[in-house]
Amino acid sequence: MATSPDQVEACIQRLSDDVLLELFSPAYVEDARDSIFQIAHVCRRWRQLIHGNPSFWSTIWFSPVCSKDPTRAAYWLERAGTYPVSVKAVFPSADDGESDDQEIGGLEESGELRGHSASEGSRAVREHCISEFANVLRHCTDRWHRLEIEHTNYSDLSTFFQRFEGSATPQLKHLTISVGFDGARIRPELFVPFEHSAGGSVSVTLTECCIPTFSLSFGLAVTSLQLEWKVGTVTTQEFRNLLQSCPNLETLILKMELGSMRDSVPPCSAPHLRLTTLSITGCIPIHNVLGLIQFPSLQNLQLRLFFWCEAIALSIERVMKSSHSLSRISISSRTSYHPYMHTTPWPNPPTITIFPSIEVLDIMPEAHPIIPLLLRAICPNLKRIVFRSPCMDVRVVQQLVASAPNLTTLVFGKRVAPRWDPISKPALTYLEFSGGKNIFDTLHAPNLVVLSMDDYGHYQSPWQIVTLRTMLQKHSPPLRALSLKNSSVFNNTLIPVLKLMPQLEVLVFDECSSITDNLLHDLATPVPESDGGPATGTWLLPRLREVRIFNATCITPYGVLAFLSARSVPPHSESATPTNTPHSTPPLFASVEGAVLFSFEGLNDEGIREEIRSFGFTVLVKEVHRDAIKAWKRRALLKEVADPDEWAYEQAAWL
Amino acid sequence: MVNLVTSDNESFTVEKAVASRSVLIKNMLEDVGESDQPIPLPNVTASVLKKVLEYCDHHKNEPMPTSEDLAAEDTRKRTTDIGEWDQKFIQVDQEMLFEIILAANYLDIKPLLDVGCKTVANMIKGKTPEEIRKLFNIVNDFTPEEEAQIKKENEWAEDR
Repeated sequence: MATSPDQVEACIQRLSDDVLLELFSPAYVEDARDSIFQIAHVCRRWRQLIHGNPSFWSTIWFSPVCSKDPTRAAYWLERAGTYPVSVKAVFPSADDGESDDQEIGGLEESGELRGHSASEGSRAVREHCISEFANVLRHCTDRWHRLEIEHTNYSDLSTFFQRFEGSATPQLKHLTISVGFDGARIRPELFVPFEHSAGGSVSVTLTECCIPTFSLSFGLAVTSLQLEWKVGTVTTQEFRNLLQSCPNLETLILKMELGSMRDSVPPCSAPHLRLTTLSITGCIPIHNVLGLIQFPSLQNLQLRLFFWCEAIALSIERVMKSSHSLSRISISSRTSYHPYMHTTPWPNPPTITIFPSIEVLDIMPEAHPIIPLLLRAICPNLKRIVFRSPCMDVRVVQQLVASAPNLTTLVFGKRVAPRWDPISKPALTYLEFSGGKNIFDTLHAPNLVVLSMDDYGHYQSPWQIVTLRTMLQKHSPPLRALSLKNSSVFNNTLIPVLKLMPQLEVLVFDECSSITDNLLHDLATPVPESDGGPATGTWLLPRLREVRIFNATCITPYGVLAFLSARSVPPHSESATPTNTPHSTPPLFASVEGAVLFSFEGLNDEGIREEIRSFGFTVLVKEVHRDAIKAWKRRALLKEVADPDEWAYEQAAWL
Repeated sequence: MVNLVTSDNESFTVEKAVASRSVLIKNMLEDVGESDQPIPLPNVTASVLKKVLEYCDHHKNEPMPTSEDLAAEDTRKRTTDIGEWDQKFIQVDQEMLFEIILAANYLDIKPLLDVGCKTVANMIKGKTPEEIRKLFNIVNDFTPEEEAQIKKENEWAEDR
């Protein structure tokens, strides 16, 4: 289409204001500080659009120690009108020399620096700039939606906050303060001076900060608090005071890589909190935190990357017994040798404790310190058990499974799978386990939808498949997803088992060394009439829509290509016969998607990878797609069926 | 099948699933019910509709964005990433690019509008106002007063 320059101009200026604003948005989001000016400096119409739309001015990035930023901030805020604003103040370190010579000259002339040394003068200039900037922002605290302060130090922060004493921040939802990490264990006090309206809700995130003090009304508004340190030392008294000042706290997240929580004075009274979620990561003495507070409303407890001790186990038991709403417990300790591994005696007499509220138990990789507790625990409403601990006592698993009639998800770690008395779990839809070769002899799961088996430690004997076949013949569960890992099952053993899964949609082979291209060939060949499998003229697995293959030694690119080619047309078509000739036209039929990671990359050049990709299939290359490989391996088998890691992923997203 | 008639009186017969990627057409079909009547599209020419239908055909099996999706899109930080196929699709000359954006806006095809806007945003990114004017052949029509204010704003930008 030939276009003259005038026509081009006419065309872009023909876009409506709404479309132009939409068009500017992504550019704006990339880097508002620069893009907004660049766009507004193009022509009058664009300038009027940008200047007339407060949303473009509602996010403000500034460096409070830059002398020109107060003017710029005022200009910016004027354009934001009455729009709620997000303020991000980035404090460069004093060494960056942001305070300019001109400013120092100005203060010298006014006599403000008289009698100061050079460093004192520089500090005075810095404080002056910060105060000026704060003065501008002080007039709009009622419109703050978010305040982020980055790379600050206590001196700058104190100067900045002094200007806001008593300032109301009724719309503030997020306060984030990140102090530059200086390795110091002891930090000065920090007072957050804002006042908040009753019934507000503020999420506070503090990184490398001391334990702060909030104004009374602000503390009442804090509903979520995250404290994070690389190295930290806090006292239980400080921490207790903080919690007492935030009685409406619902979520508390503590992370500390190194450091400790010292006992300064024993807590005289334990605050009752509305806390529903408590997450502690790192070396914070968990028992000190758990011992401080009563958690009558706690629903989610997550403990990560800590070293076990008896005191922690006891404090977890106390919380479990006193928190009658606790439904999810996720414990992921650091791995260490522990002297009482495998030596926990069965409680005698067995004093059983019932925990009716617990629905999710997720414990890994070590669990032995709480095995005595779990041996006495009955959780009748358990829905998910995820025990990836290699040392989990099989008696615990057996007891918890037996006492949970509504169990939907069951995951065993290595060497855990028990041999229990015959048990039926009609609600079970997700089962994942390692080892446990005879599990299907005794576990009856007639409604199983997702099955993931790791034949870890049994490379030479695919027993799992043999017992699975028996179970399928007996109970015909509606399996829709099957994952085999470390299995040495051969095609001729697997095919009859797959025939018993006519509803299978997702099939995964991970490190399965004995399956070959012939299996894929069988999956892409319409079932002959006499075979007695699914209805004539359909595939062996007619509903198969996703295949994932990782490091299957005997699967070649040619086998995958032929499989995809054949499955891309309806099975009743003449052209459904598998062929090694690459398919030249796009798939016309609902084809199989998924991913493959070949064991021997020498066998496949970029050309054949491209041909496989042309079917919408992902080809992973070990050295290139490390993150994608992890993501594919971690991907849920069926989104709609309870994924045992769902909560872990949710947590990872906000931790 | 649905019959669409463009402003230059060309007729396109397409699957309902393809045409329904346009919320405008989808609503029209729901209002009219089963009918053989052609749907007039007075704001779209044949060459542009052909491109738009190519996009709709490629994405016909994808779920339509819900109002919740669109709201979430607005609240989270948007990126200027564009899918591989969409990138190839949108490699057109400037006039066609803006015609596609106009058509996507008129036909209410939000994902296509998004691809178009992101493409233009990527073109603008990192360019000076003068470079943007040159790229789109836009005339600098600022008044002297506005130029003075722009100069001041530029000083702030340089100061960063």
